[in-house]
Formats: sequence, structure tokens, C-alpha cells
Amino acid sequence: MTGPKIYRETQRRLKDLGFTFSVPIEVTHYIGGEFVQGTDPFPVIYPATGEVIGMAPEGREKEVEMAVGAAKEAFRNWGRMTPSQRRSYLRRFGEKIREYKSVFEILESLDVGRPIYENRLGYVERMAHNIEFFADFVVTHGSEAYPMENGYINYVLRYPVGVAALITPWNMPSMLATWKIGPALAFGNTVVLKPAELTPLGAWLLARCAHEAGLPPGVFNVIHGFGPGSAGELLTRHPDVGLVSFTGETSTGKVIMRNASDTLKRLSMELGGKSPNLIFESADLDWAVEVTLRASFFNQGEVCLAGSRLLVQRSVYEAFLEKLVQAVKALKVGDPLDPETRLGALISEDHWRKVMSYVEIARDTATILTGGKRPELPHPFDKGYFLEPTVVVDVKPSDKVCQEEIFGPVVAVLPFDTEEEAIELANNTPYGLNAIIQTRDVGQAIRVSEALEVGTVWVNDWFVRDLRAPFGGAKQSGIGREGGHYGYDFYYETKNVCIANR
Amino acid sequence: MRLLEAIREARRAFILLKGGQDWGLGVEEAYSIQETLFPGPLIGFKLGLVSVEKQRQMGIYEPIFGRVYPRMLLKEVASSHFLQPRVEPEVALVLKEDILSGSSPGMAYRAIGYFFLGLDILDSVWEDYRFTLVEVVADNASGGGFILGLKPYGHLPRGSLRLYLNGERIAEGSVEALGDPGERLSWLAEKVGGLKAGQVVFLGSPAQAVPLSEGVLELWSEGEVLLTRVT
Repeated sequence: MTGPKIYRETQRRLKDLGFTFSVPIEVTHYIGGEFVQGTDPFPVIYPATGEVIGMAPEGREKEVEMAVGAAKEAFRNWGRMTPSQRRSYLRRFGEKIREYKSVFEILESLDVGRPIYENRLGYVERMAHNIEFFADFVVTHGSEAYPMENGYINYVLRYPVGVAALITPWNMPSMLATWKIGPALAFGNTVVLKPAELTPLGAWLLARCAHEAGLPPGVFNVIHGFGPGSAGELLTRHPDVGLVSFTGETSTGKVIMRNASDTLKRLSMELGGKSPNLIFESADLDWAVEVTLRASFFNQGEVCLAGSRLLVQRSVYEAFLEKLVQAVKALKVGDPLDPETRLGALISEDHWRKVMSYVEIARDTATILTGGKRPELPHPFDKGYFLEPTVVVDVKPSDKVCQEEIFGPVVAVLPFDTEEEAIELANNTPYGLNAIIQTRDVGQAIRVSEALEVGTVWVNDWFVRDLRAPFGGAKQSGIGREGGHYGYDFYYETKNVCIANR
Repeated sequence: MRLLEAIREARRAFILLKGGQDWGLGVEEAYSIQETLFPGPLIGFKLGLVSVEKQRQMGIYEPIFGRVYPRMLLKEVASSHFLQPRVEPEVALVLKEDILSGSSPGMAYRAIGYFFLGLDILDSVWEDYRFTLVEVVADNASGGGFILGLKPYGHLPRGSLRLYLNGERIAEGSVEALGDPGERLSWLAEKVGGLKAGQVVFLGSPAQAVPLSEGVLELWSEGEVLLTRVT
């Protein structure tokens, strides 16, 4: 079934909430303060049913030129505003996001197929916070001075770069977009956002928020489209784009770096992961199971930070797995909009096939403890891209399921005996985004944190983000750090002024 | 009529009353007060105290009813319009034919057009909902406002009603606990002297009422949902 049912449903839901949008949602670009209809529309699919929920236009040369041009023009004023002037705009932006909270919650589920339950765990508040935090940060932070002994003083000036191209992923589209929009705008740059083509709805609503918040035209622009040969590539090659912040697959990141090298753009890349979740014998096993459920299956496991390799000390291996499997079996998979649902659908049919290919490998070469198949769901969810949460054991560290990013609800479990072995296993992938250490031994937490080659370590929890702290990946998981002053080197130009005292 | 004046004055002044008083009145007189206070024109009725447990608590053996007039049907809920709003998950029905007083449950059932999910926004004038039977009946069975779902069901929804506020489950109950709609309608038609085609009847709640706060209310049944924003 295509179209009508989901249209009516969505229309009804939004109307019930007091919002009126046309459904199918006619996604538009947002360029220079105007909603631009665009051309070459492509369908937006609701992953839970395979139905078309909206149409989005594909941005090409014309739109990219217009958007970058508008952003460049707007930068002349925006870049020169005082931080507190920008803060007053960005606070209104944040407030608008809050006003549309219940719509974001629904659209994010329609876009991604993720459970609305997760969208309500402070997700929209976090979006607003991401914008407001950096607006405040800039107002309250100064810079360094270096007095010299021979009659000179240096001081550091920072100023915005110009037009930032923000290329954002489909897994948590609205939240991850605001992670970048916040610092980019607060530090005085103007923005062209290119959301993933699979999930254009959140960015479209963000544009509406920016518009209603009264951001000056051109400060924030949204262009829809694809990567190669489309809006994404055109942005990363455009000479007037000064910086590119990208979150997504490692392979795409490499292409973007190549494209951006001709015009020597600043790059911030948050790429793939195959993060280890280390369960030591001293861990509180019940809590470890809770953390593991989230780290493994939050957003159907479609999280770069997912703890997709579970390393468990042999002495607690059986006990932990027994508790884990019991808890995994209790997770409700299905209708993303039902508040009881804990796993929704995977993003697309292609992605579902890709994830299933790993499951098939596991079926042949390892043991699937639970999951591994499409759940039986009533119409219309029988057409959705669902997969039961899957736990795989009897694997070798070199197996594909232990080395490659699956980006789905599939975790591979490896036992280990000693701390050294755990560290060795944990570091044994090309990725280095983050790691989870579950232990009650504080010395062990310190030792293992030091030894792991990753950008973030979480001890006894997962995905807790302080915007003051550095965030980014090691090895093939990324380049650069964002967060607090760690974003200075990316979002700012830095200038040293050296003055003689004569 | 002290009770009538007390309620009218409290409603006008937007203040609460202390319940649990002896007004020296019977239930029939309470219904007359209700009729005087909430004259109509009506678009329907609500049932209250439909569960046996709630009836026992009040020492009765049948439900109570209240009057629903047009402006009680809401599009969205502004809590500031109510004294002490609470919410209950309900099922409502709309009649396609008249039901005469004295109709059998079977005849009454055949007069049902469609069922809808509904929310009953209770608003008692009695502080903390501590009231006697006479008091609650006179105060229109705590009738505040109602939200009617947009999706018509050809049958009584099956299974449970689940009510969420901002995604947190705040009430749940089985539709079965509402009793047989035909019997309820036959009883109500007898009490009010007949029901008219086009009238809506809220069948009561299988769950406890929950204090209302801001956010999004969701009522789920059979994979369908009724959403409302509470401001």
C-alpha cells in the first residue's frame, strides 16, 4: 500500500496536535530566508511501512549557488555581530524548536523509523540546548594572552571563517544537525545544511523554526539532495565554502576529503565506529545489561557510537549473556509511534539487506543467540524494514561481524580472560570512535581508559554528552574534535597579534 | 437549594468547594440540580463510576451520568480553563437512531453508529475530588471537557486502552470493563427519557483518573491513536 493511509494518519496526528501541514509533506529548500520549492523531487519513505510520506527536491548547481551565495552575503553582517547579538537570535531559534517539540518527535520517527519513545527522552530539548549552549559559550569565553619577557605581548584573536557546509547523517538527523548548527552559527559562520537524502523532514522543520525565529535571511540555509554528483558533492567542492563538517560513513568521509582538498577547506569528520563494550567481572551486571541494551539497540543500533562489539570477561560470560538475552527478548519491535516500542525499522530496504548480509554470515559461521530475523508484524508494518535485536556469539575477532560497522541491531560477543587481552581486542579494529568500560574497579577503569585508542570513553554508561567536552574519533573514525573550545580550530580562524611596548 | 447555589457560585468564582457535606438531598434531587445548572442544549451524555469497584466505594449499584453540551467538546486542552483537571481514557459512541425510554439493550445496541476513542477531562468543583454521591451528581459527574477521536470504529475497540502523557504511560484499562454498550444505553435512555440520533455518549473509564499536566496526551487502542496537546 502506498500513500493514502499514511497521509491520512499523519495529517490526523498533526491536526490532533494543533499543527496543520500538508501531507504528503512537500519538503522545500530554504535559501536566503525563503522556502524554495526546487525541482527533481524524490520520495521520502517511512521505513516502518515502506510508504511514501513526502517528496523532497534535489538541489543541484543552481540551488547550491543560490544557497552558498546567500550564506556568503549574510556572513558580512552575521560574522560582524557581537556574540550577544547572535545569542539573542539563537535563543529564539531554540525556543522555536521547543515550540515544535511534538512535531519533531513525530517527524523524526517518520523520517528514521525510530521509536518515538526515544524522541521523547529529552531529544528535542537537547536540540534546543545544542543551539543555545554555544551561543552562551561564545559570550562567556575569552582568549589567551602571552606576555613576553623582552617587551612584547601576544594575544589571540578568533574570528569566524565564513560559509559552513554541514552534511548530516540519517540516523538522528535533527539532533545531529543541531550539534553542528549550534557552534557554526554561534561562532559567527553562516550555514548551508545538507541533510541525508533519506531523512529530509527534520531539516525542513528546522528551517521553519529558523525562519519563524527571525534569523536574518541567508544565515541558515537548507539544501536537499544526494551526495555524489548532487548537492553534497557540489557543496564540498564550492570555492566559497570555507568549512565542511560531516558525520557519516568513513568511505563517504574519504571522498569528501578528496573533494575538499582542491580548495583546502577546513574539515571536521565524525565517521564510523565499531565500538567495544567491555564488561569486566566486577561490573554490576544488572546495570551493565541496561547500558548494553541501550548501547547495542538504541535507534535500532544505527548509531556510530553503538557498542557493537561486546567483550565479556569469561568469569561472568554465561551469567551476563543469560541476563542480556532475556532482556533483549523483552524489547518490543514494531510501530515506531507506539510509546511501548523500543526498536523501530531500519532506515531503508537497501540498508536492511546490508545488515541482513552480516546476519547471514553469522548464521553460517557463528551462533545467533537471539534475533536474526524479521519479526512478524501486522499490516502495514509487515512491509517495513524491521529486524529483531540480534546477539551473535562464537565469533573470532577477525570475523567480519567483529571488524566492520554493521550499523544495525546486531552485536557480536567475544569472551576474554585478562585486562590485557580485553584491551588488545578492543583496539583491534580500524575504528576508534569510542568505548564503554563496565567495571566497579576504579583502577581498572583508569588503566583501560588510558590504553584504548578512541575519542571517547564512557565508564559504566553510554552516550552521555557534555557540550564542553571534546567529541570526535580516533583512527578511521574521524578527524578533529568538536565541543566547547575544542571546536575553535575548526569553526574559527585564529590570529595572533604581537605588540611591542615601545 | 444551598447545594445548587454553592456549585453555581464556585463555578462562577472559579474556586473549589469542600466536599463530603450532608446537604439533606437525595440522588434524584441531585440530578435535578445538575439539570438546572447545566441546562443544554445537549449533544449527549457521559457515564461515570462504571466499574463495580468505584460503585462500591460510593455505595451504589449503577453508574451515574452527566450532561455533555457542545462547548464541552474540545479541540485541544488548555489546563488553565479548569479548576483541577484530571484525565481518563474512554470510549465514546455516536447514535445513528433514537433510543426510546424502555428500549431493550439489543434495540439500544442497534442504534449505535460508530465508536470513537475519547478523553474525558474531569473537573470537579469538589476539592481533591472528595465528594459524596449527591455532590458529584449535582456537579455534572465532574464533567469538564471531552476530546473525541477522529477515527470511527465499526465495533467496540478490543483489548486495552492505554493513556500516555509525554510518552509515559499514566493509565491503562481493559475496554471490557466498560460493560456492554447496549445495556448502558438502555439504562441511560430510561434515566433521561430517551436518547436522540446524533447524540454522543461517553461510556466511562476503565482506569483511574490522572491529574493533567502539560504535554502531549496519547490514547492508544488496537494500534490506533488519539493525540491531544495540553497547554
